[in-house]
Amino acid sequence: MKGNPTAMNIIFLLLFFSLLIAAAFLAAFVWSANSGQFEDVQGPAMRMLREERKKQTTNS
Amino acid sequence: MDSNAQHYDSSCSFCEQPIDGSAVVIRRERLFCCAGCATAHDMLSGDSGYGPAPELLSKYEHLVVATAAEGFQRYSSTAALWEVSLPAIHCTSCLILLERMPEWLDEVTDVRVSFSAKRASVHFNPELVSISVVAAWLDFVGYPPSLITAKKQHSSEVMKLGIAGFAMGNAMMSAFPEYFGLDAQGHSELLILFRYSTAFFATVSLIIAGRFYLESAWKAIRGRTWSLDIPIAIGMTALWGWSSMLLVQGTSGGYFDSLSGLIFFLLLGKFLQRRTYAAFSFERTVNDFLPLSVFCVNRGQFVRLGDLQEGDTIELAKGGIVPAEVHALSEVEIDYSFITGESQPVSVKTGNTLLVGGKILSEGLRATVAKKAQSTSVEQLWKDDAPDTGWVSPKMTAWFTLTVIALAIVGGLVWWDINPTRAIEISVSVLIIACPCALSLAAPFAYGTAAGVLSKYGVFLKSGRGVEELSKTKHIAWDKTGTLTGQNIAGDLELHRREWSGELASIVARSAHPIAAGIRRALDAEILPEAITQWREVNGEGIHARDIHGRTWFVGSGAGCGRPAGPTYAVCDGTLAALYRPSAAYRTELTLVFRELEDLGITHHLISGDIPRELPQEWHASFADRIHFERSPGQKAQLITPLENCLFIGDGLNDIDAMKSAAIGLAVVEGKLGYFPKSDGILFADQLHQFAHVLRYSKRMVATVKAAYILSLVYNLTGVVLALLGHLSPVIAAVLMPLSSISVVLFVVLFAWGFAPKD
Repeated sequence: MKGNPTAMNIIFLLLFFSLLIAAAFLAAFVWSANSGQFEDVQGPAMRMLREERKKQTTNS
Repeated sequence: MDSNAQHYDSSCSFCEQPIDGSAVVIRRERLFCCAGCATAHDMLSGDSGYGPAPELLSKYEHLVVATAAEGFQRYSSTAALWEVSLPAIHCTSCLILLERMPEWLDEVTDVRVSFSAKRASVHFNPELVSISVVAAWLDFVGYPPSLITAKKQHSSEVMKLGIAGFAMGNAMMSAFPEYFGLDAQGHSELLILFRYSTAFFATVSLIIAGRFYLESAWKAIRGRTWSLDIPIAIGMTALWGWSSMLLVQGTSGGYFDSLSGLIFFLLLGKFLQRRTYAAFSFERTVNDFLPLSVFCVNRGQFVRLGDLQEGDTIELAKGGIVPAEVHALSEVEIDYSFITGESQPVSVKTGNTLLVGGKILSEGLRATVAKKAQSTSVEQLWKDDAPDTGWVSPKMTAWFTLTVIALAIVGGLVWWDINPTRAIEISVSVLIIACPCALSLAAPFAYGTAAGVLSKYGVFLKSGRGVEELSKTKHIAWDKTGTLTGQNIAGDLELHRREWSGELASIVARSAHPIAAGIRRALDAEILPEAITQWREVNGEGIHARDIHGRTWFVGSGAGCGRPAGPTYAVCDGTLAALYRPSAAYRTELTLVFRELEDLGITHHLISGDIPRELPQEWHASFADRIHFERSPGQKAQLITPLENCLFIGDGLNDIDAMKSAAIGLAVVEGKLGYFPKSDGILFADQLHQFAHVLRYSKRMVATVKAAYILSLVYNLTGVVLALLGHLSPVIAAVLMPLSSISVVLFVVLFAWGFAPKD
């Protein structure tokens, strides 16, 4: 029996847009992973322990 | 002792620890507890004078050709970036020191360390400093750059995991409608939409994230080895293929939702496992020890190790490591302790072969390359030394894989007769649920956690493997000096030539031997580092030195200076300068420990290089006649070798041979650690009385690991049986598989903590 068009068919459109948004987030995730955000998960924790020395010269 | 001793109540200007009594170093009116802190302070404050020596600088000269250095980019005439791999990075201090590089090397503007990758991004001004100088400085502070760069993986594990998770979420969501009763009547287009949507996400996941397993299995098959990834890859492919067929036929949506879940959980398990291993491993690669390049005389320039050809003539510097098998062109003395463990230097005559890994003790020489430098041979050396982390043998893997595949095939065939539609599903479930991961995870997790717990007992093991060795101990060979006796040796110092106390103090200060420390404490004179021009310590004998006035010194045993054995002599140009008799301060609290250890079935031995000294009365029962004095390092090793499962406890300094010949060796440490002991672990002296608990705990951990293996076996049997009976679907199998691994891991970790001492 062939399907009759129903109001439920709006799902096609909804699904499309929702996947579009999801894809955008995925792209953002992939970009961040590629640019090294997840590369060093231990470093930042250790960097916290660095003491701020009084700046002696204009260097850095 | 000497009332002239000055005492400083302040703390070290660098490490801020209180300065102990007379051991103080003064530089430019600042006080430091030791030369190390003084040097570090000078370096970081820019009060230089410190830096790489010319030999070190020339070692990296070949890097000036910028193409020789990978990871080097020049942004402008004044800005360059070098991403360099520094395998020696291993702790917070490394990160902090390296990121402070601009403070001690002005031309470097910024350094950023990636700890996990053991890499540093060094920004510097190439006009002011060349890359070779930067490299030399990195080597000088202790982080020699490794030019063998690992390929940077852009599709990192995290990204694949993220994509797999994304795919799983969306695939499952697309599968919900059919789960909840969507059928073809009136909604056939929607049904098709959702089915294909699920299939799409699962396929994407397979291609991007699951490919690891497919590639790994393919490599294993091509290489004719068995890999645990083979059943997984077969399962994935079968599931995908079968589901596609069902989808296209229109019969059902297939099992794409299971597939996506399967891939995600597999990757998650792998990720967690990798992170845990990283936390446990102390691995140093062989590149940390070999020089990067050597000066090739016939080519007139520095050449990378891998580029050396047979017949090349290379220059080897004093103190350097022989990088390839060569023929010596002049006589040389080599220290082969890295290879053979024998600390006595070997004299090699002209024309004879020098082996890789030897350290040049005498002056530098030239040599001809006999065999092309092959990193594999040196790595082999290193592997023999380092504990292997594989507890699951390849044979076990092969058997396991074969059994699983066989069961899957048999199950599939049987079900084909009964109910063909379920056959593939069940086969795949069998392939997935059978997971030996617990077998390979239980031991590392158990021993790794145990090693952490043991630190509370004052025992610090180099690797988790040490726990297993400790549990098997049947004999303990105790060294005397520094182990059974206290290391802070007090003694009587007879000073015959007071005017030479400065030189004497300077000589003994450079040694970490307990007796030398005792002499220094008794002397209370100021150390004059510039007063000593030559210095050499011979294990088991003493120190040979020359001072700035041309006098020859010897500080050590009677055998070394032709005098009766007993006290330690300090002889200058043949004249007796001082005499030192250490008082044997035995650690009497050990009496109880000896008995407790005997209750565990341990036999005690005393092996010492010292002259015979009377043991405390209470110890005679424990040691009986197994007391050996005046043994040389080689003799100690000979005594230990026949003992099965022997633990050697010494000071890790002059008993390297003994350490190596024992099944496991521990170095006793008291107070400051002035050297890096070549043992499997260190033991704090004030915790020695807890040692029986340490061994008991180790035995319990071994039992725990065995229990974990049994648990894993039970899981696998139950899982496979359930799958064969048709009670599991692939996705349930995919969830249960990592769950079983995690629960086994939790089991061992909880027990590791549970058996720990109550504070």
